Amino acid sequence: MFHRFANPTRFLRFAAVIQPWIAAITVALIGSGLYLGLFNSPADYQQGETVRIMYVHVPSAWMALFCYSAMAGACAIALIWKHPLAELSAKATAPIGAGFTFLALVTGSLWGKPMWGTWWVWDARLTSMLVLLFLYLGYMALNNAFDDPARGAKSSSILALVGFVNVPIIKFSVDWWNTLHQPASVVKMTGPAIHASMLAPLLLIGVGFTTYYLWVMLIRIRYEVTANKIRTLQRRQAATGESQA
Amino acid sequence: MTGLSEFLDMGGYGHFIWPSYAVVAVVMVGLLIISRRELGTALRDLDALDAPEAPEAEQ
Repeated sequence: MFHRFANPTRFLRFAAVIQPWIAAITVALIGSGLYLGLFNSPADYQQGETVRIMYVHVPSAWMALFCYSAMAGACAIALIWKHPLAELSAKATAPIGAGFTFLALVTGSLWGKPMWGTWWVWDARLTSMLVLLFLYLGYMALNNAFDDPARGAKSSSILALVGFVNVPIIKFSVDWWNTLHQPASVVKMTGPAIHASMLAPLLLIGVGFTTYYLWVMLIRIRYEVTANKIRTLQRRQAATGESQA
Repeated sequence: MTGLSEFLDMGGYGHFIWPSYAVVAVVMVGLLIISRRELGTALRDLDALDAPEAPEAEQ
């Protein structure tokens, strides 16, 4: 019984110490990024003021892919080495990644209407992002679909790994297919094709969203560890109750 | 005052830009609050389960 919680217990103590620091860094990064993005950066010469949607849209889309990659990596570690924290962190990551994917889709729609003249098109980038949202939701549903949590974890981990094929498809969809969506401006071989006054708020909010992810993930892992302890205690109390009866 | 309404108007695109920021704020703050509340409830449940019996403390 001791070794089962040894690792998570040490992790919980560590998480409690760094959590307030991560929270403070997150607020500072996103706050300064919003200030620069809304007050201290120019309107785009083609897109006008709507370019300000970029400061929340692009980091959301980055995080949608980052969270999925982290989740799939954690699922692989959970399947191969049966590391208990890996499985919990995958489970903790899924709703955050789903949230960011939803935000990328909604803010993209709000940007598409004034610039493309439509809320939605079924092109490669948009459709593959919608598939990503369904992968997150499918992972979460499958994880909870079994009475035995271990079976749920295993099946959903396999789904997450198979679904990982969608991540490079999303990233390169704008190069492989004709799409309304513009190609990458920041992460490209020739360096960022975007002025520093726009790049600074974009990166600040991007890093801020990453620390936000770590912040909420720590809370959710603490929740999952606690829920596991409750399940174990309930099972033990039920067992002792039966043996006494 | 014209400075503020001009800023909120965002060159005529205010009604696309501000909803984008609003939905991001609602989802991110909401997810944070829900996660914290779930953790709080679970910690209280664990205390309640642990208290009556099980003197052999974990760790």
